[in-house]
Amino acid sequence: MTPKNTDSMEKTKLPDRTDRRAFLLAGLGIATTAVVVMPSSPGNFAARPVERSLKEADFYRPHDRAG
Amino acid sequence: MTTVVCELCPRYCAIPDGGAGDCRIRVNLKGRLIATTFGRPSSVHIDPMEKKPLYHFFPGTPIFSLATAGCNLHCLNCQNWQLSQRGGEEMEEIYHAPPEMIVATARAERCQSIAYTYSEPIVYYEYVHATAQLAREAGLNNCLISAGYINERPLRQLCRVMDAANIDVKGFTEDFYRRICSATLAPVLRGLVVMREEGVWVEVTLLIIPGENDDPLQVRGLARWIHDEMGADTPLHLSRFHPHYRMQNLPPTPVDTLLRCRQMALDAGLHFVYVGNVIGNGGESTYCPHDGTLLIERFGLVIKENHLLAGGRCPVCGNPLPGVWT
Ligand SMILES: [Zn+2]
Repeated sequence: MTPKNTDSMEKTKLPDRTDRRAFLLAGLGIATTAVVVMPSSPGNFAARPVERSLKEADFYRPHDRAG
Repeated sequence: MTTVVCELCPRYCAIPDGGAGDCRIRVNLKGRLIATTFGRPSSVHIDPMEKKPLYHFFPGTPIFSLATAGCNLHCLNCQNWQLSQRGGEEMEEIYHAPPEMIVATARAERCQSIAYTYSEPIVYYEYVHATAQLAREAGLNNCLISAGYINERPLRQLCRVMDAANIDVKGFTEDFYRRICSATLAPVLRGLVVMREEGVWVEVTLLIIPGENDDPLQVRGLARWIHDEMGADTPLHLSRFHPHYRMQNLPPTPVDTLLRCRQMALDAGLHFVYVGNVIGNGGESTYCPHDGTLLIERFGLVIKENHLLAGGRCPVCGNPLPGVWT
């Protein structure tokens, strides 16, 4: 299942410490409020214009060569 | 001008110079196929493992989750269409995150696992593979959350660095795949067998869409297929449809329908059938297949009680619960 992810376009931000604590508690098997299922965005990615990757793909061939 | 053929997925897109594959993100640049979203995710979060959903793989632990734009399916009901049905350049946010940065951040955030998820990791294959390789060297687990629409050779290579997968089987007829997803079913089933052969822990999801794939032919059919080809211990997640994207005309799946489908799958011999996207439905906890003991009690994505002993053993009969626990 791919969860609904309308927050996917949110700016990267440091997670709220309360959320983080609730999440950790959930990890320990302690039920807390619904906040634990809210995704938190980890902090150290730069959201900025990023050059398109020039990484060559695997698994392709020229069209004129048989597969 | 050199046209190339992408051999990653069953579409075998013939891509002219300057063009992109059906996934929008594999681009022909003067005869070289470029993975344009390599190191450029548009969605990065820490989720509970249960959200993937993986219920028999390190329950209750946080999993570092990422996705780039692009997908090789075009499901009418896509929940993540803003991410999946776009090319890399159309995203409002693109992060600079090469594989080593993903692994370092996952470790810094104390995540033992990384999920390649949300859109479709198959189409950003090279990024997944490179990151997963580094993650494995660092002692982290890798989880593929995918529709599994990929050719066998790349899949086998990917399986060597994957620990677990949740594969979203969309329906159980070719007609469903053609009409709703613009894809085909057979390669997905083949891929599931390949993953089992390669030793990846696999759980399967079927999103139940009312009137489209909730009939006995499909639900029982898939459950029997899983039972026969993957084994009765393969968890099946039946999850609730909500109207999204180009399928806003249907209501959310009635809970009764989900419970009826669950019973069909249990009757087909599967040991672990879960109902997802409905909180408190009675079909979200794990019971011992030998004696019925409640082993993991869940409420939504939260684990209320985990009674498993070391090694994932049942406290009553001592049998290990199928899955990966330590
Ligand atoms: Zn038992």
